[in-house]
Amino acid sequence: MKSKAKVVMEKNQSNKYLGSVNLSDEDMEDMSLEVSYSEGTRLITFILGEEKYGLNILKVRELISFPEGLTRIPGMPDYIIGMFNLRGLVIPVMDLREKFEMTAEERHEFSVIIIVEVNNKSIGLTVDSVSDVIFVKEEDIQETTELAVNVDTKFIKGVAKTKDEMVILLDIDFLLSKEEFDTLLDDKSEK
Amino acid sequence: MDNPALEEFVEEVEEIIEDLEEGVLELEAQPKKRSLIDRIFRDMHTIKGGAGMVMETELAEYAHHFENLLDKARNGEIVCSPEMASLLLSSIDGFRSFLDRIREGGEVNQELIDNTLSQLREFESNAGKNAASPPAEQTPVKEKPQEDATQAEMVEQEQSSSQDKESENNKKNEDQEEAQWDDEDEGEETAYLLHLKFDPEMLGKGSDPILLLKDLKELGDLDIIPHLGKLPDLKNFNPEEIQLWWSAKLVTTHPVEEIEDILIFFQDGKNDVKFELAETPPEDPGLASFGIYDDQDNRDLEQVRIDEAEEKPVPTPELVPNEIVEQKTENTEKPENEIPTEESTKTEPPAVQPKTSPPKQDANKDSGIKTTQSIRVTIDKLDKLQNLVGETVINQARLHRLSSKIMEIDVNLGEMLLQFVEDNEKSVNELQDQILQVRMIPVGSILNNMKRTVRDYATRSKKKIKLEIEGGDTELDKTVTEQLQGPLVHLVRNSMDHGIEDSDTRVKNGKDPTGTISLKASQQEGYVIVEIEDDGKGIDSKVIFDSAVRKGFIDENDDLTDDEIFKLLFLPGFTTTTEVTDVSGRGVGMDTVKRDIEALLGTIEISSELHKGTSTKLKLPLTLAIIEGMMIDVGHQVFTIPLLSVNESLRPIPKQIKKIKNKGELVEIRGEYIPMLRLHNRLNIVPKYKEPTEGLVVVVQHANRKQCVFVDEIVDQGPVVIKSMEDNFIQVPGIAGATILGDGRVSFILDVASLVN
Repeated sequence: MKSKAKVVMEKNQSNKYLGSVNLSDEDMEDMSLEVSYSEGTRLITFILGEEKYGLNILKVRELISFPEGLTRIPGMPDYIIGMFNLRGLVIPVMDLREKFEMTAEERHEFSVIIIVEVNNKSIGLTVDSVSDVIFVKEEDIQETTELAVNVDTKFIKGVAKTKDEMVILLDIDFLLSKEEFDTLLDDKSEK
Repeated sequence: MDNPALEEFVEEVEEIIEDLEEGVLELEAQPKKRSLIDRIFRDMHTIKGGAGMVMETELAEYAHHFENLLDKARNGEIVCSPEMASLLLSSIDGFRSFLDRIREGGEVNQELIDNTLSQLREFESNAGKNAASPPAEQTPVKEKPQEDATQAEMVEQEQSSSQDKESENNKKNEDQEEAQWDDEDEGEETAYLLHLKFDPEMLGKGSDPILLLKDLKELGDLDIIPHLGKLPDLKNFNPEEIQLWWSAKLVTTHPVEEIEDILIFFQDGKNDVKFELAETPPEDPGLASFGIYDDQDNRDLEQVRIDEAEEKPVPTPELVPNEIVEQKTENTEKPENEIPTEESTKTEPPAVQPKTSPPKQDANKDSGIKTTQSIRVTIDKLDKLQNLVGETVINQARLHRLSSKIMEIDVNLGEMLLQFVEDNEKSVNELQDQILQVRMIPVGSILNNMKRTVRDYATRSKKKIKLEIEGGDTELDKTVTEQLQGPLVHLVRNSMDHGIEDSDTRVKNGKDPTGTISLKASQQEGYVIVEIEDDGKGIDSKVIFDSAVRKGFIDENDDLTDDEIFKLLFLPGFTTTTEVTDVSGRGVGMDTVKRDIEALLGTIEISSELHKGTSTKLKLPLTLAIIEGMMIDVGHQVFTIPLLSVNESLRPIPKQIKKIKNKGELVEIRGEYIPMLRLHNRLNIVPKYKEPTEGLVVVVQHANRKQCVFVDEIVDQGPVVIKSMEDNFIQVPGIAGATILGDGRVSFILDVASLVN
């Protein structure tokens, strides 16, 4: 009896093993992304106002539709629109339009929050809509701050040019850096 | 590696290697434990067999060498020494190297393999020189026939993972058995009855009962009776299945272990192979000479068997339920035998107890318990689990509301749903409790740490101090427990330094020369109370009062109760000792303790009686993760105030409100004027009510300072799970943390300290 059971169990295990092989294939793909970072980057692109922005997909934790209840944080500047409950985690949401001092837009059905993970912190970013996942080669990325865009250039890493469009690369690490967060408290004292 | 058989083999061997390693380490500690040697031997044999099956001949050969070594150990030719243990352990490394090669390709670590093998040869040749005479356990068990009559003993069936027995191995065993037998003097003959029933699919697994019977025959006279009962009709006959089973009687001069050695490979899985001592050595050994391969009609033989059964308890009762009894005569025979066999097992004299099986099972149990007692889990995982449970609790609340809504539309359906939701709620609450329980550890560990503190202090000072600990098994959140250590050391040192007098003084005052400090922990209504009590000189409230006046904390005309005076001890910079010792008295005393305890959401209280002693009482929440909160509404946004800080709440009448120019507003409550804060102003929210007389005033207290907080209304009160703001954001001034309300929304927990100041 035992030996039989054992064989069955081992079969299951080997199935599991196969399963994990499949998984790790995906991991491999992800890793190859990292590896090929020097040659190019996979970006998630989104619309904000008139322009298309992109950020490294590896920073993106998930996309969610606009949550039902956001709780405003007292004393925070307007672009921190509040915190909400994402499966037990309390996550702040930053309104990128507000942050970049664009004109506010009514939220519509395509309003999406991109949950990014930077420095082990998960933060939601509101965008007008998410468009695509694209791959850009290193040589197509132009690291320049001389840009005619509506956004304060300190949050811009560069521009990626694809066949038919231009994607502004957001410097998400800086946008959500400790230094930037510290200014939240200063912003508040200005008010 | 895309051969599934090979994959399976690798996984199996990995498992076996683990068992092997564990076994060898245990064997090192108990070198004479036969069950361990058997276990290791079996493991080694299984590796060899498996390797042969998947055509890993090198590996099979490698295992074969070590199997030989273990066989010698089993036969008592070699006593397991530390060298042998390390040899076996290095063989495990060798196996791993083989596995790596199978899995990933490449080469085995040939150096390692060769090394272990040469070590093995060296070891064996050394062992051969001082070839030990077989240890005592090896001597054959010789029984006086009369005693045997009632001593039929079932050898406990052992769990073995060995799958098959190869002829090569048989050969080896035979050789060795032969060799050993040759050395032996003709022992007394002992008869055994064997019950041999096999897994029908045995042949498919590469094994064959004939091998077993052959081996047994080597040991002595074998009398075999095949049972044909289950044999199907010819058209249903499957030649690859074993439907026969055998009873056999073996008369041998060999020790019982040798029979076990043969049977060991068959005592696993679906096989049902047992043996027991027979009543007498057979008078007529010639009976055994019939062929075991015959498929002849065995009526007559069956008769012989039954005759025997009348004399001895042959068919073992354990077998009865599982088999279809073919012979009516047998059937009647069995019940009679059931009872004697059971009894005889109990009255077994130790001499007959085979030394093998029972300890083996114990050994397995031992190691099993060791590994399942506890596991290490990172707090991180617990937090995630707790979050998920928290979500479930929230969803539960949503379900509850949903069922109320459905109730309005369809009463029946609503009630059914409600019933279900309420049942589910119990499980969810239980789940939440359990997950919190996981974080709890007994507070005893840190209480016991104080023993050392007290001992060290007592040896350095002239004081005699004894420490009593009570309620060490009281459980407290791990974080709370850890952070309690500091304040506790402080308080115990205070007691030793300022409380307990030296022995002379104590005797003069009619006290026991040895002072006592007692630490008591107990649980009271969701809080853990830790009391530090000493029977020292107590605190003189007058001294405190004077000191406070001198330092300007109070006015000398102030009228304070003793309790109020003791509270002065917690003021920053307050200290009464004139001499500074290395233990306490630096003026950073009690206020630090108080701050630490408050950081743990706890409270501290001192009570003292002059010349009798001092008691400090710490009241701590069971966990930091959950607090009792009061949910208040300001402009339709819900905030949470820790209930621990809330004194009371009321709706003031207009004349209670006093406005003082440039100083804000005060509320008069029972003659006391307490400053009032309009929370909506602080939080920059448009409130529902403009005046406190319409809304409510919550009186909060922090460090002796009271504050009235004007809010719209109180929404709820209950336990809330605290989430850190910093986890995903930053520390926001005025906010101590966040929590998730029953409806899934985030509510901020107000920082009372910042409200008060």
